[in-house]
Amino acid sequence: MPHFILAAALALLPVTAAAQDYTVGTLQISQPWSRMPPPAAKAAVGFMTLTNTGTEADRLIGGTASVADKFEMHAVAVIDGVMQMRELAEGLEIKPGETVQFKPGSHHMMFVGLKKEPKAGDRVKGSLVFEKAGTVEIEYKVEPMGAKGTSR
Amino acid sequence: MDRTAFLSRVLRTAVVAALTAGLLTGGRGASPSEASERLHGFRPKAVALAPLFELTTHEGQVFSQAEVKGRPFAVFFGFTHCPDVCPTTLQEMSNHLEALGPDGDRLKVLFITVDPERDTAEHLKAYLASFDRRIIALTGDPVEIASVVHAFRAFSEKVAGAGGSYNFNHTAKLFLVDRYGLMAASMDFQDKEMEQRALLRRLLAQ
Repeated sequence: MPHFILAAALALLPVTAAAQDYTVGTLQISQPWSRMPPPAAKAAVGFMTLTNTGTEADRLIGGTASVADKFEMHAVAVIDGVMQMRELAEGLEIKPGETVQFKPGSHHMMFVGLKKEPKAGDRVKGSLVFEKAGTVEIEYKVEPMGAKGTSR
Repeated sequence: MDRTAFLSRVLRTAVVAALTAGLLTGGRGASPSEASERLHGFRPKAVALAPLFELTTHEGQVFSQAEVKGRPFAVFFGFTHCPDVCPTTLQEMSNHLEALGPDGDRLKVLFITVDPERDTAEHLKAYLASFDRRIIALTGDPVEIASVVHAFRAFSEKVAGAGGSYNFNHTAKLFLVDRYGLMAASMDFQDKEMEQRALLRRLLAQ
């Protein structure tokens, strides 16, 4: 039943609302998306797929999201049923040819100290900063609460 | 409910053939523990429920035994600053309750914060607004929360981050307590939706 509602909601979104792909240097950033947080939540998440098409390693060292004071990167793992979340304080290295996924239940960007709660269908402006490739402006497509992924 | 009604109800709703077979062959009078074992396929564990009734609901009321006495319920530990697993689990439970329809009225879902310092009753009430209204959030003082975590053999640990921020590592299982007050099963948030729903239906059919 909820899938019908979700499908109906997605069908109503204009075609232009699809998550975008971006390139900076040898880094490809595919489909950044966020998820509408519950009311009064203090944080939201960002997800995307990063691919390094170059011959040298690069490192994602930070970023911004227009809706929040702070941008953090976290690694989440569920080990023996315990959810463990660890801040990637040194950023995240992406080796040549490597693809890194920020996705639910795994790595995520965390937008901490929300100034404005992202709503489903919104687009959130932000940026990513790579050690070598530099800064790239991106937009996160905001999916409904509980969404497990985004669509093109 | 007498045994005939009980069986017919289970037969109508059970989705696991092995479960049905177990019920048909185990026809003797059963203690709650045995009934639970036949329902779930393994011996359920006792769980101390008393610490739950020291907690405060998101409505600011002491959580009453009457809410769960003789009813199945689900327990999830989390905190509202948790960006991914907690809101997703609450959304999934909301979806389950909606799909269960009126049967969902008989399943209490408890969201117990492991971060009572930030998760006051007032804050929890605002946070729950977009989820199914049948979900109850519980807070308390840290010692009371620790007692409940311990009772469910769960785990919670505060982890300091940069600049004075902090988060929690915590058990991300959903514990299912049956109508006899025994811990009957647990679900992982990665489990498939239909498997979770089948388990909830079995719990409600008991």
